Amino acid sequence: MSERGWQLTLTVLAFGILLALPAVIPSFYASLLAFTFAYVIAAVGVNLLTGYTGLVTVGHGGFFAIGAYATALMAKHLGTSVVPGLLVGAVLAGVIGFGLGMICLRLGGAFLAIATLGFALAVGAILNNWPVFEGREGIQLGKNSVLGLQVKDVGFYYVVLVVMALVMLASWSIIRSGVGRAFVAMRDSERAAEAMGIHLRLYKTLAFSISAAMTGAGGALFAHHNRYVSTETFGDAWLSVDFLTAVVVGGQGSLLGSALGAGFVVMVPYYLGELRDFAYILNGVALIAVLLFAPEGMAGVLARLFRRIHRRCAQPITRVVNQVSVGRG
Amino acid sequence: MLAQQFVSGLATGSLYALTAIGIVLIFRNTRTINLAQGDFSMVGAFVALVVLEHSRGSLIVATFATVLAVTALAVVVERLIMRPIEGADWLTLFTATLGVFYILHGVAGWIWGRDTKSFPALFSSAPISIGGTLISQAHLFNMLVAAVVGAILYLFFRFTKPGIAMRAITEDPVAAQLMGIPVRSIVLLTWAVGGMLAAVSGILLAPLVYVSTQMMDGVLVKGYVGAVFGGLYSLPGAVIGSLIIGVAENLAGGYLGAQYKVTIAFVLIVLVLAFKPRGLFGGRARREI
Amino acid sequence: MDLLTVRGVRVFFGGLTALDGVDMNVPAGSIYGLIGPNGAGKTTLFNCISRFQTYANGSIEYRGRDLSNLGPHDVIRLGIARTFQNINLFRSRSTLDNILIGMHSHLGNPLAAMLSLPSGLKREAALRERADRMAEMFGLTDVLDQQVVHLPFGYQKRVELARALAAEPTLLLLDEPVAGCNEEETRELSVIIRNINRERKVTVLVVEHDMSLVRAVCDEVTVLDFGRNIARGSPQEILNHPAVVEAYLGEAVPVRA
Repeated sequence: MSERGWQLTLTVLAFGILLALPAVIPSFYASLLAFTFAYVIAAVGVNLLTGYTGLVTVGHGGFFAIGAYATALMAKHLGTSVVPGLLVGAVLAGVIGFGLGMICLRLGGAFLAIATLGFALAVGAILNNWPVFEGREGIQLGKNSVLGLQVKDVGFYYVVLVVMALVMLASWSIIRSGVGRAFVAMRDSERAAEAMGIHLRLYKTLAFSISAAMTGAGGALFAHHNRYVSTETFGDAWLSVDFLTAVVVGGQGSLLGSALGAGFVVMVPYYLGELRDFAYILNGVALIAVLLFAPEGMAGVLARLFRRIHRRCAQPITRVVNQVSVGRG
Repeated sequence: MLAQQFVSGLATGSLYALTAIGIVLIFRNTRTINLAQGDFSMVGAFVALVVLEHSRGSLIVATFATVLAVTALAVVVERLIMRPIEGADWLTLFTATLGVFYILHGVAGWIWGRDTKSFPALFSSAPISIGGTLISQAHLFNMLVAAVVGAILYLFFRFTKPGIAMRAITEDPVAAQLMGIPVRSIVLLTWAVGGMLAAVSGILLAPLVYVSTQMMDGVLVKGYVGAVFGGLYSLPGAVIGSLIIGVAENLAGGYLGAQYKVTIAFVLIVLVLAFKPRGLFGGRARREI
Repeated sequence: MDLLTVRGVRVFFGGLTALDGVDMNVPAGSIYGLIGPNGAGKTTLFNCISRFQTYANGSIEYRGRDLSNLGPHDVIRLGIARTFQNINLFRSRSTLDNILIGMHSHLGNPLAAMLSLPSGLKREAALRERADRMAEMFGLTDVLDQQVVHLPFGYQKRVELARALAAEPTLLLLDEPVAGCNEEETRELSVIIRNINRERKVTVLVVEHDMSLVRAVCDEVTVLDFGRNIARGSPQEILNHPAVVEAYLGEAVPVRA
């Protein structure tokens, strides 16, 4: 089978496994996975902007928070359910992302990073200081209902899984299209991109909005999953830094990378729990190890491994064919 | 009242200035934003604390040991981590220092625990009066050190031969190397000096912000913002930028309310960059980052 | 008929006058050369036409349309494509992707493209097909999937050209197309440029330093020095023109035997 064929097969297989998983694993694992999926969605958004378009963001925690708080406030004051909350959260994040994109148009590298970081910290400061957001006390969300049906833990796992699949599908579709090509063209050479007709302002803000909307969606689902939001989680820059770490460690510009990186960033603190210091050290070591030895991230390493196995498997056949034809000649 | 707020703001800003200078110094010569600059100071503060305990409070020994230790740390970081990735893109360099940040946070927490410790005051707490406004001796000293260091470095880069040679590295490291400038040695030296600055900053700040693994987190971000105000290339700009932030914070806190104190720095930087993408003082055409 | 008309264009860089009232008329269907010693302003004029550079006075008209209020991303839609000095490919991308990006102005509805709607997919297939044909024309079919940064220099030059032509422009701006090329590569490119002009009916404006290329392909040439016109005519005429010779006398005359 071709490489493309294998990619498709393995993806379908992976999702199949994820669909069947809740039947065979304890429910708290399913819950942990749902938590991770929300991070994956956010990471896919960050990867689109940073890994693919080359615009470094250390501020997507802000969009995650916008999505989370939008849906939390709606749930609390208007009694809305998951779907409208998710949509509003994503759209609001997207609109603000558009604004941030406009502001950051002429920024690159270190300047862009600080502007986005500033954005995230400003969001955190607003959340901490304006009473409507209830700061550290936090906002409780009621039971989750999707399209009218009450949804509990395992049910919500499927909700997040579906949204994650949709977001990944959307990202894949965008990257394969001319729009995705425009994004990556801007990364490689803005001048040449312009000469080809790529309107920098349009495409940069587009990349920012889509990326922000995706991360906002992740945030909204995160809020509903935990049924609680507070500035304990959203009040500082750690989330933003986590997302960047996920993208770098997982693999820039790769959907699999977003998934693996998000998994890493969630699992390390989860399993090291009390040993927060070791979690930090592990995070740092992983980052540096990737940068020094495997810049394409975990996904890149897996891809290389796969390619080697794929080639090895194809070889015996060609060798036989050659031997046969040599024998004949 | 306004004058006092202003002066207090300058005092706050002076805390960030040395970190900002360190960030700019390393960035100019290596294109790297050193996110670990703050943690270098943090490690320095802890080392100083430990040495103080064992040397019966001798500040001189503690300072000496701290500068040595942190400079060594910076050199190790440069050799082991930054050197192997020296030609890489900006994001790689940036996230490498993020990795160092994480590691230092974790190691410091592991070795010294996560409680906040106090550090003996370096100056008496009697404030000095300048033109009707009060400023603490510690803050004043901070400002002086930042101003002096900034001035020395500025003059060095502007008027001395090695300084001018280093500016060549900022513009085009490959060309500089071809001209015989020992880029690698200079990079190492830059990190070493950055470490020294961080050590000094750590000791000066320790009595004021107390010693803990997170003591420099806020300072780092404000230092980064201050550095960006200065266009990331201007050393005086970094100092001035830090002072501006300090003043803005204090004025915002005083006139708008405490909740805006933190927000203002970030809103400011986003606004500044929206209109002046190269910072307030950055104007020259630069290499693309 | 003139495809491109440049009249009295002035460009100032602070205290320096890069262009001081330059005129140029490029007839449709020709291969036109723009030459001059270093610092003459050729690249500045070139960038004015492709809108990477603003000009203070004068006018540039393409097919009668004034270009002054257009941005660099607008000109391709009018039919003006360009290459870059020293190549400016999308390094991390394959040959195919580079050519496809060259066709960005023909993308159609971005939404349809992003969401992989039927109309978007159809358009993508059409673009693919055109890219394949473009690659064939330039002998790039074997390297379509290779990352351009790994290709030999000669191939990269061809990708740069293919990418510029992918959008089917009516005016092709070539910025020192044979910079860094040896004699054989220069000869090959001359042939390619002539073919592009004759077979695809594309007007070509070449900025060049290398006289052998100019002699080989250009129908008419404008010579600049210190931001001003100093001569205009056929390659034969301007090469013997006293002002041109003098302008180049200060540097090694870039003529290859």
